[in-house]
Amino acid sequence: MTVRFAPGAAEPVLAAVEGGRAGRPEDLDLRRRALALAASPGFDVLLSLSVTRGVEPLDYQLATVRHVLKHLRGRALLCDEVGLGKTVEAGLIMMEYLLRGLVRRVLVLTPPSLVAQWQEEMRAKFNLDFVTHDEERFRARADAWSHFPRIIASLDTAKREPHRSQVVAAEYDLVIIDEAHHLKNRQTRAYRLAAELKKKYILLLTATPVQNDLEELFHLITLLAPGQLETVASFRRKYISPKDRLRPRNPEELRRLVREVMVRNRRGSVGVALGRRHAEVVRVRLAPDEEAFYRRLTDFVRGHYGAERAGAAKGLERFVLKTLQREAGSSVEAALQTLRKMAAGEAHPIPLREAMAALAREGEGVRGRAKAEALVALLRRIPEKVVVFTCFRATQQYLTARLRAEGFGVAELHGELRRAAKEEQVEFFARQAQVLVTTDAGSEGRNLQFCRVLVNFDLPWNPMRIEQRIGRIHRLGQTRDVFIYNLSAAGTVEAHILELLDAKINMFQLVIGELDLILGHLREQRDFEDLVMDVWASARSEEELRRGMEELGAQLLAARRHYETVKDMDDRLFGELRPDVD
Amino acid sequence: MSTDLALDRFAADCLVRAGAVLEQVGYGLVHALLPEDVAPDFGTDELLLAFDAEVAAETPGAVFLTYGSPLLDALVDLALDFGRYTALWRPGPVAVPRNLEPRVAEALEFRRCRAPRLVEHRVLEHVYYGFYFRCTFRSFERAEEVNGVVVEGSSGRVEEDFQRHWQQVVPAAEPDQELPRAGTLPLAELYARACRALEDLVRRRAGALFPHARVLRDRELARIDRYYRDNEALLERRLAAVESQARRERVREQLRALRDEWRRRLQDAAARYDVEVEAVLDHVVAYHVPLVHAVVEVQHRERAYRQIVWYNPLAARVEPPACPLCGVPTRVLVPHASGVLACPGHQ
Repeated sequence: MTVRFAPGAAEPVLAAVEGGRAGRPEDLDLRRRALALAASPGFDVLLSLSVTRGVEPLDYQLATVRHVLKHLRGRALLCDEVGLGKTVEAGLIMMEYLLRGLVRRVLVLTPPSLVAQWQEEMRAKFNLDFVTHDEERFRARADAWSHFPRIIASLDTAKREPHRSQVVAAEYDLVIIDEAHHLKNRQTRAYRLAAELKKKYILLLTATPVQNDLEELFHLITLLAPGQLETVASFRRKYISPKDRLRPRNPEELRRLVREVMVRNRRGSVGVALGRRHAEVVRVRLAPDEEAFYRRLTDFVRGHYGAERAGAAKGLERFVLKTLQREAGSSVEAALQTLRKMAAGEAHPIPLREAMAALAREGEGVRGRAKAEALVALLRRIPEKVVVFTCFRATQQYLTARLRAEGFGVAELHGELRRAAKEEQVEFFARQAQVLVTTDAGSEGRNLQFCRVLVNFDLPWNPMRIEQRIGRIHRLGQTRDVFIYNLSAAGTVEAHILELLDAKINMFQLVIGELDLILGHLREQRDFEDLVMDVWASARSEEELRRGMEELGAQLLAARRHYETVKDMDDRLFGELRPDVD
Repeated sequence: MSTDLALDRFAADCLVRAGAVLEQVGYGLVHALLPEDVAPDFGTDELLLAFDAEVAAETPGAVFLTYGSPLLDALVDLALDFGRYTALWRPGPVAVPRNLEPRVAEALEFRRCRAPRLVEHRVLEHVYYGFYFRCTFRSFERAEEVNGVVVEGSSGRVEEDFQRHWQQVVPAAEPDQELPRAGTLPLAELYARACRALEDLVRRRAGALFPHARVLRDRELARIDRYYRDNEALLERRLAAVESQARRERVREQLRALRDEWRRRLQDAAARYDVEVEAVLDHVVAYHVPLVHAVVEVQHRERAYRQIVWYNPLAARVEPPACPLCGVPTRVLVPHASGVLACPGHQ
C-alpha cells in the first residue's frame, strides 16, 4: 500500500496557523458538515438512514444494502419475495451513492403501471424529484434524456424510437430496472436497450427471475456482470439439463455463481411480522332515482362508446366516456360536475350538449344517496380512525360536508391542497379527527399506518390504484390487523370489478406487489380498466355482460395460476440467497 | 466529525455565514438574498430554495436543493472557504488535585528511588494540534474520509485518545484566563510527526475499508484462471489433433498469445486490488488545554533527582514523561549515570 501526501496542499493551512489567523468555531462546524456532504466515505456506515423520511428499514434490508454496496459493488439482482420492500432497498442503495457523490444521474425503468408509484415513493421516502417521461416538462425538451438527472420511465417507452437512441446516448451513473423479468429474452428490444445503456451501477429488481427457462437467468446476470456465467453455450452445457430446461445440472455450482450477483430474502426467514387483512363487502342498493340516473347515464355512455369504437365521430372520446361512467359509479356529485361542464362547453355539437344538459338536470333532481348513508352507518359502528377513499374531488367534497353535518370530526386530503396544508390535515387526523376523506391523489406520499381501517367509497378501475390505497395503511411496519370495507352498489361497473378482483384472484389478501405480477400474466396485454370498459360498454344484455365478465374472470384466474407456478419454481430454484453479514 | 447531513440547516448556515439575508417564506421554502461577492458563484443574487420535492413542484421559480445537485456543490464549495484553522480553549479553572503527590507515585515508577515528593506545581497552557487530512483511498473502489491526528505541541507526542476526552468539553472560542504558555516545537516538526502517524492510521483504515479486497481479488483471479485454463485445454486438444506442421505452428502461436494474455490479466487484476492513499491536509484545530506542571523530587542513595511531571486535567491523569535520552514516553524512570532519570532501556 502506498500513502502519498499532496505536495504543496498543506502550506496555506500551516501558514494560517503560523499567522494566528484562526476562524470561528461555527466555521469549523460548517466546514465539517460540508466535508461530510462532499466526501464519499466507505460503506461501513450507512449515511442514508439519517436523510430518508418515514423509512425504518428492517435488518435484512440493511444487510442487503450493505452487501450490494460492499460485495456486489452496485451491480446486483435483487430478488426478494414480493412485499419485502425491494424498492426501499434500491432507494437506499441509490441514496448511499448519491450522498457519496458517486452517483448523480439515475434512470429508473419500470412497467408503465409502476411509473407513478416509483415517482411517489422516491419523493415521499427519499425527497428526490424524479421526472417521468410523460410529464410536460420532460416532453418539452428535445434533450430530456440527458438533461434531467433523475428520470423514471416505462421500459416500453424507453425502448421505442425516438426515445431509444437518446436513452442509449445518455450516460447514467445508476440504472434501476424494476420487474426485470421482462428482460428475460435477449432478442427483445427491451433487453437490447438494457444491454446498451451506459451505466456505472445497475440494479435489477424482480421476485421471479426465471419464468420459463433457466437460460433467462443467464441473460439477466449477463446484463449485470458479463462473463459471470461465461458464454451462453457453456452455460447451457454446464447448467441446463437438456430434458428439463428448468432443472439445473450443477445446482450447487450454479447457486455459488448466482450468489455473487443476487440477493433473495424470503418472508419466512427474515422475521417480518405484518398484520393480517380482513376485507368486507358492504352491499348497497341504490335509491330508485339514483339507479334510474345511473342507468340513463350508462345507456348514454354505451351508445357513444360503441359509436366511437365503430369510428363514427360523435364528438366524445373513450377516455371522457370512461371517466363519466366511473364518476357515475362514485357519486351523483362527481358525474354532475362533468355533465355540467360538458353541457356548457362549446367544443361539442349542440345535440350532444343538450343531451348532457338533460342528464345534468336529471342528476340534479336525484335525492337518494344510498352509498353515503351506508357509509355513515358503517362509520357509526367502527370505534376508531377510518380513511375513506374516493377517486373524485367532487365526491370527496360532498362526503366531507356530509360527514361533518352528521357530527364526525373529518380531516380531508385532495390534490389541490399544498404540501403544508396536507401535513396539517394528516396531523389533525392523527390527533383528533375520526375520519379522513381523501382522494387518491391527495394521499400520495402520505403514511397513514397509524390507522388500520379503510373504506373504498368507490373503486378505481385500475386494480393497482386499489393496491396503492391499501398500501397507505398496510405495508411493512404495520403490525396490527387491517380492515378494508368496500362499498358496492348493485348493478354498477364497480360491483363487477369487485367481484372479479375479490372472488377470482382474492385481491384483498394479496401481498402488496403481487397484483402487478398477476396482471402482467394476463393473456391480453391491455390495461385491465380498458378490458372492463370494453365488456361493460359492448354488452347488449345482462346475459352478455355476465358472460363477458366471466371470461375476464377466467383470464384473471389463469394469470394468477401462472404467477403461482412461476413463484413456486423460483422458490425451488433459488431458495434463499441471504446477504453476507459482516 | 460531524455527520449532520440535513440540507436545510446546512444551506441556511452556509448562506448566512457568507452574508446572505434569509427569510422563511413558506413550508420548506426559504428566500435568500445573496451578497455581491457570492452572487456570481450562484449566477444570481437571489434564490428561492425548496427543501422538499413536493414544495418545489408546487412553487414556480423555486430551486430544489437535494443531494447530488449543482446547487449543493456550490454551497459545499462556499462552506469550504471557512474553517481552515480554528483555535479552541478548554474553559474554566483548573482544579489541581489535592492528592497530586500520591497520584504521581501511583502513575509512575521511580525505580530504585524513594517515593516522589511534590516540590512545586504551576499551570501552563499547552496546545494540542489537530491535523485533519482528507484521505482518498483508491483500490477496486474509491473511498474518501477525513482522518485526524492530534499532536501535543510541547512534546510532539501523538495523542490517540485526545478526542475521547475533548468530546466531554464545551469548548470556548476565547481563553477565559491568561496562563503562561508551555513551549512548543516548530509547527513543521509537529506536522511531520502528524504525517507519520497518519500513515499508520490509514494503513489500519485501509484494512477496515476494504476488508473484502482479498476475497474479491481471489475470486476474480480464480475466474480468470478458469476461463484461460478451459481455453488452454481446448487449444492443446486442437494441437494434438492437427497434423500439418504449419497449422501446428499457428496453434502453438495462439497458445503462446493466450498464456501471455492470461499472465497480463492476472497481473492487472492483482494490481486493481492494491490500495493507494492520497492525503491532503484539510484543516487544523489548535486545542488549548491547561496542564499542571508538577516538579517532584526523588532520592536515590545520596542523590536527589528532580523530574517535571504533567498532570492532565482533561484526561484526569498523570502523563508519562518523555525519556530525556531517547524521547520515548515512559512510566518507569531509573537514575542514569548521566545524572538524569531515564527509561529502563538505557540501563
